Amino acid sequence: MKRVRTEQIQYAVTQYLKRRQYIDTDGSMKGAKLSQTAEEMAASLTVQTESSCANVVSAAPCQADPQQYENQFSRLRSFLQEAEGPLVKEASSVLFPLFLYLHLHMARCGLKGALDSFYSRFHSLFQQDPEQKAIVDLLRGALTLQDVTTNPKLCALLDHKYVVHLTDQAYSYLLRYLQSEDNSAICWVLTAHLQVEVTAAQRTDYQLYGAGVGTGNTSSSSSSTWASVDGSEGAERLEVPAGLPQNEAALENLQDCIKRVREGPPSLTTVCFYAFQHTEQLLNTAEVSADSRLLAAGFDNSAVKLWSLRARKLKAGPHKADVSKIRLACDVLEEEADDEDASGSEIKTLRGHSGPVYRTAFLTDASGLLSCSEDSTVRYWDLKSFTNTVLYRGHAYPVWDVDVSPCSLYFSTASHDRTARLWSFARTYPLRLYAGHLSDVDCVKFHPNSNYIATGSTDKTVRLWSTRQGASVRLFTGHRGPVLTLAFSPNGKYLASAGEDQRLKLWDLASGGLFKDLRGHTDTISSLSFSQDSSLVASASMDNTVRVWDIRNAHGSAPTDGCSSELIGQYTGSTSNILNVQFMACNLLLVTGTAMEKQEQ
Amino acid sequence: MTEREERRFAEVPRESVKLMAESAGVELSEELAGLLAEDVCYRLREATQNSSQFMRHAKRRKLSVEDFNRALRWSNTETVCGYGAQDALPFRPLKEGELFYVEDREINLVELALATNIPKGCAETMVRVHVSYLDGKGNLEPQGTVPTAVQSLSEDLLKYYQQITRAILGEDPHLMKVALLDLQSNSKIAALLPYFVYVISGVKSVSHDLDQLNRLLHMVKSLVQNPYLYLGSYVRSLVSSVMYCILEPLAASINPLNDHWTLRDYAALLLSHIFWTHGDLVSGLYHQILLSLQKVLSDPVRPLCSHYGAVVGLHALGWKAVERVLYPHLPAYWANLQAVLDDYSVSNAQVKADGHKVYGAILISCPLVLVLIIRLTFQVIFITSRTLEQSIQRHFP
Repeated sequence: MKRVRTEQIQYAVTQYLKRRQYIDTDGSMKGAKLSQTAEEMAASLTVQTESSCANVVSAAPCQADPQQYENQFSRLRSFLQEAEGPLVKEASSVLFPLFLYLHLHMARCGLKGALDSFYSRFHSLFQQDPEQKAIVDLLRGALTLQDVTTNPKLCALLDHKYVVHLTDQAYSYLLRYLQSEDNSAICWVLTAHLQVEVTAAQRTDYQLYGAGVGTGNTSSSSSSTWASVDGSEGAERLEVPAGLPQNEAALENLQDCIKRVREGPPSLTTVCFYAFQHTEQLLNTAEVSADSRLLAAGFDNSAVKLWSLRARKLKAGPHKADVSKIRLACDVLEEEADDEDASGSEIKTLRGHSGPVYRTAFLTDASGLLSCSEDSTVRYWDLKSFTNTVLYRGHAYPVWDVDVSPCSLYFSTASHDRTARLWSFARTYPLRLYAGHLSDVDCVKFHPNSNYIATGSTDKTVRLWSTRQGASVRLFTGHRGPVLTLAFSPNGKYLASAGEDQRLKLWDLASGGLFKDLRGHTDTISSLSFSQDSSLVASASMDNTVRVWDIRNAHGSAPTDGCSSELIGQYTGSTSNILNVQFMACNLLLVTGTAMEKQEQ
Repeated sequence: MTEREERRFAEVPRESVKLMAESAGVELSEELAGLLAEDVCYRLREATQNSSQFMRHAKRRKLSVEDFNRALRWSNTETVCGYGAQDALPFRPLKEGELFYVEDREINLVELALATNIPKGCAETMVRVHVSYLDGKGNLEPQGTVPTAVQSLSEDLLKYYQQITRAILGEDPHLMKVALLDLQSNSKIAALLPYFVYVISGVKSVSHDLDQLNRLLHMVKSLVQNPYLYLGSYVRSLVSSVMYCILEPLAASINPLNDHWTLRDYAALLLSHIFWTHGDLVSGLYHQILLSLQKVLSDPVRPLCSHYGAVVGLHALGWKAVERVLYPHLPAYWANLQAVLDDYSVSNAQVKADGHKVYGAILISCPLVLVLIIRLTFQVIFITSRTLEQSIQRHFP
């Protein structure tokens, strides 16, 4: 039975080999074993690895011709001397270990004559480096096997491998030379006694545009070290590359650099002006959504207009209110099909109010828009279908300002009736009433943690209210005119307020006192914005300038003409009346305003 | 401000009040006239204050009659009518006394109606964008200049740039992590953005070194994830570097031991991340990306690793991309791929391994295509059932 099986296996194998056109199989099949035990496999594998091509060279004990050592070494040396290029220097570092080990090998084999001539010819090459010189001097005395074995240092050299670091380019350069001719002795020494560490070439010196910075040249250089140096020999130890203290120093250096940049001057690089033309003096307010895709503007003729700031046009979603049809899943496919065609429009006009629109506010995910108007109502516009879906009633007088809370849970309004009110999106009546101002409330803002609301009023005060309880928790006095605009810093520490008295006041919320009072504007300040890292404040005023202040350190220039020292820059664009200023990222400032009229009225 | 507070308010004299009363046919005593005068003054001041609020919130400086009318409306008073004309009313003086009267002009309505010069309506409101760049000192550069790359950077920033690049591309992994973390969270590095983008565009010269490519991709990821940084037009350059990693047959891929497949996967994920967060900063980016991916797929001369990169890139961009680019191309491509996979010769072994990778990538993006097929079949079923129903109704009313 077993024999039949073996025959079957043999037959199958022969057929396969025939199909694959391994022709002369019949003879070799007799001796082929069809099964192997694990030990046999392991043994055969070790035999194979030991007797592979690399080891053929190492197994050869002595060269037939002792002159070969000298010839090959001198050839290599002259090649490296004559060649040019940046790699030659690296490759030349391999000469010393080659010399050393060739000498030792010749001493061990007892080739005294060849050794003498070899030594006398080449020992002068290595006199520069003190360590190499010391070893060369040692070699002078080592001429026989006895000398080599009695000297412990030389024994150590023989027992361990010499490590050479080369970049891969230098290494391949060397190999190419060695393969071009018969350099078997050198190859043997390379495999037996040298360990070549090949490292990839590092590119760490990126040039700045034109301005060459010379300190960046840290291309890794080759170095030779003794591997596993005997500790008691002490004196021979060369420097250990990349030890632990070096890394810590580099880390400290890096962190110091980072710290200095973080505390350094701000990095505003781009100011983007959106100028409205042909507004006929009807434009009251303009806002950009947080993802900077939409621009909303409120007009005196009760219209709210939306612009798309990106390439994609505004397209209303499908109208879903048809109750005479049942919508199936296959209907959805047809609607999704035409998503990419250009049937949208750049501007959408939203009509619904019956009085001038004084403020628009986007929700944080830009899925909806709130607008408040003189007709004492607040309307919610759904931005998928561009229709007015909710009407919020509660005030009896014009509503001046509306603000949405950070997570779009609530919104608050400020009105002529001297109150501010808190609303939720789900109810059309207000949830809380904040009464306490002596005159109408001009602006309202939520704190980043949604627990506090700040209001500024014509009675020249700013009040801070607790959202839930409705009680006033802080009263900030000091302004000399109506407070028209407020802004909270994103880190929640400061409140900025400004208005007709042309001063920007920063209040510290923890202590309740005035933190900074910035001068510089020459007319009413109409809009404020903090940058995301709470270090910059931008203020826009009716004197047609936008000023940026650094509130952390006084990085600005020396105070000129009465401006505060925190002023970093002052910008005027193509607008004649600035409505709104917003920080989009720490290096982008968006300014909206009416364009300059060509004719003066 | 204090000046205004000290100024006395305008007062209406009693004589005017009495005159007004006489013209209305009412007799008033002195006291009454005095009281009325005070009240009138107060109401005037209140109306003016309210109208100034309207003016302030409309961001104007000139008080208009509309503002005043609104204030009156909210006080439940009759508004003043007859104002708003373009030219001022002409007052003519009477010869005797200090009386002025408004001239009553006659207007020929027929002429007005048949006049041929129709006044132009107002143009529609439009928005113009103007972007200004700031130079190193924070001043606006003159209009129309392109931002110069060589700005005067401060020494701190220069040192930071060198240290960070060295740390990321160097050998210490801990330093690299610290550097990448800082790139992701530092708000002050906007001025260095062109320099970092230049470093990243050096992918083209390190295509033999997978480790360096990986690090450069990490750098792209950090920059893209920095919430304080506005990338602007540098998105294009970053996307082209990432596309290079996805599509190019890298020099490192010659050695089959180098794992350039994970690099391509990582680059594809990064591409989708950049596209979904910053994709609409640059117009037409989506189409450009799709076009280049399509070009690679339809080119049989390109090695299979490029095709793999294209398929993985499409998969990362979403099922719409797969549907638009891969699906129509699939039948033709499949034939070629089958030929590669069926060829069992030894010389083809490496290419065949690559072919298997592409096959796998197509299978992964295929479920999305399968969804499409299922949807289409449902559509077909629905349509046929509807037509059946209609025909039944026609025959058996």
